Amino acid sequence: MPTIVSVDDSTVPGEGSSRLLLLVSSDNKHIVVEEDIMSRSRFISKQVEGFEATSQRHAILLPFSSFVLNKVIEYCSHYRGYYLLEDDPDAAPPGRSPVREWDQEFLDVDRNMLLRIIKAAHYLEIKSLVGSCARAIADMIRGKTTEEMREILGVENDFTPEEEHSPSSKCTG
Amino acid sequence: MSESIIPDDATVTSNEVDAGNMKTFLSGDVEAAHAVLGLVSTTGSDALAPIPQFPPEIFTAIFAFHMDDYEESTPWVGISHVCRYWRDVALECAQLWGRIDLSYGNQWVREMLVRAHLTPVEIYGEGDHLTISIVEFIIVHLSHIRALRLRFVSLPQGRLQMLYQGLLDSPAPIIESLSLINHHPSSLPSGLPVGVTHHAPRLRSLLLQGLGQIAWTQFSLPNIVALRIINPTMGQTHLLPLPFFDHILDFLAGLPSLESLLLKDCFPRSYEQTEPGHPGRVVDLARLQEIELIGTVSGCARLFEHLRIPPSAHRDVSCSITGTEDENLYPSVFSAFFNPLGGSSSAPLRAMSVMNYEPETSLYFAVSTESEGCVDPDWDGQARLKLVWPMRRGLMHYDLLRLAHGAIPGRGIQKLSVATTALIWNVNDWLSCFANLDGVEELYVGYEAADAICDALSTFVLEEGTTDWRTLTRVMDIEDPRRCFFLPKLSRLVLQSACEELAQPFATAVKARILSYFDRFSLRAGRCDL
Repeated sequence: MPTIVSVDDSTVPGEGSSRLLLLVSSDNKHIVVEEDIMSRSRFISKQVEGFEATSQRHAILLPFSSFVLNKVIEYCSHYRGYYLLEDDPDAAPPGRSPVREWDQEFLDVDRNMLLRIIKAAHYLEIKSLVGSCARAIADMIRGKTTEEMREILGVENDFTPEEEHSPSSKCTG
Repeated sequence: MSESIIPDDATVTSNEVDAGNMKTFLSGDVEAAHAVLGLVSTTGSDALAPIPQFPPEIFTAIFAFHMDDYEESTPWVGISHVCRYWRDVALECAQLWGRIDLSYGNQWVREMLVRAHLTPVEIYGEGDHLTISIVEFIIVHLSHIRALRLRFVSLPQGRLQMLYQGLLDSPAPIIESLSLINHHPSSLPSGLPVGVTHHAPRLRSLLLQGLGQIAWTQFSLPNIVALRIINPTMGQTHLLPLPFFDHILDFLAGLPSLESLLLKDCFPRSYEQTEPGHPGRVVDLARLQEIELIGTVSGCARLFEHLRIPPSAHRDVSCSITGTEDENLYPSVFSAFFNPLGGSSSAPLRAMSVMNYEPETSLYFAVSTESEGCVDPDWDGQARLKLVWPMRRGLMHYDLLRLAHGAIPGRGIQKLSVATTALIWNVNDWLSCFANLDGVEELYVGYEAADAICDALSTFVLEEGTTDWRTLTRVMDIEDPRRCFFLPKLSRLVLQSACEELAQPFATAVKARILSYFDRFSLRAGRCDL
């Protein structure tokens, strides 16, 4: 769970009437972002609801680096004001949807960064971003052998030789 | 006491919020803030675990896409062999088990249905090896089956019947697609799974093939979008009782969401076979986008007459002639197809095929509205309209052609292909069938039709010993050879003759003259260009 720092409840004149949030990354960077931008994050939204209940404003500490956090904010800024079905908590789970072109370019990053983004998106409960990252990762391992999947994603084979070659594994047929 | 918790290096997003204001705005208990920040700073950078330890939800999302994109039938095999954690997650990832191919075998069908828990599943494939217990198992899990697409070649009738009965009695609250295809005509069940429609409020697509005639009056499909009912081949249809037109119309009237309809040999062969009904009755299929009817000419025509279809819909018709000699022979029968104002349909005809079982005397007629490509004398996908018609049954070529001409939207015919195996007794009459097709730029005439033209022309040439075109055109009663075909824009003419002896002298005599009229002229004797 994040740690919340209380601050006072003033408002700042700025773009529109959107309030401001202070996000603190794990490398101790402080990022100010308009609440509207981060409203796509269910996690942030829930935090903000909590703030309102206490009539206080808060900084939200997050367990990932500013580099990753900025990428997430970039994503949220791009889709500010856009309706994405995946992020609608009231909508039925979307079926297979086409890849968004912007997302493809946005996620054209190295493997480690991609994994960090999906972890952060999951933490922040941004389903659309989780989905886009998941699709990108699925693309990486599509058609690959088990060994290639391990290599691509840096996964260690922890099966014993007996387990790995056992035909009795129920899930592998 | 209090000071800003915003450090000097605070990052401001691209939304141009003033950092100075923020410092004023976001001030608070600095001690608490520093305490917290101190804690955070000790954690270093991303507290991210390596991918094997990602939360299962992330893997679920990845596996779901992996499953979607995977072309092989067993996507879980590779995934579950990566490491223990992946295997554990895969076993619990319901989505990974939601697409069940019956070719996996009965044990896997059961295993996957269980592993899928209550997530929607899709079951598909050939069901001939379904045991009684698996059929029962599937029925038990109907509540979370989203799609059921089964094909049977030799499933014993008892098991097929059991499956039907299960579909008849069991609620299927999330099923969206139901497809049952029976390739084994002797296994026709005595009942139909119509009951599923009463318990399947989300059913959108229904395909029933080879299951006998439908009990139309028992159907209730208010949300159906795509409906395909395909009966056994025409030769077997006469063994089955046919419904009344009124029952079909009642049924269609209850499908307000219908967008795609295919009916094959499941409606009366002729209007007279059924109750008179209401001649003026019209069923409005306002959302229909495509309709394909396969049946007798008369049956298709009459059904069209009672349907109101949006102009944007595509109409495909395939008719067979299996009735009596006098059945379906008159242009008035065809007007329901060809004349946009005939019957109730205002949708243009996209494709039509009329077949009969006497191909030795048939007319093949093809029209293309495509602006690109070439006329294809082999009648492949270029053809938009294809008629196979027995000449001796009295309907003249030009009646059909004129009717067809009226059916083409915007009179946009640019390429025309005509061939017939019937004798052409009067060339001029025959050619007159092209009257007013003034948009045609390419014409292909083949088989006996070409022979007949060549015969008429070349015989005259040889007898008169002249190659004077005016003489020839007098025979044809025309001045301009293009007018011979009433095709003023014609720039390409292909006469494909099976008779080289006739075509050769014709070509020698008139080719040069014709070339002055046609930008491109091609004459073939047999399959050889001259």
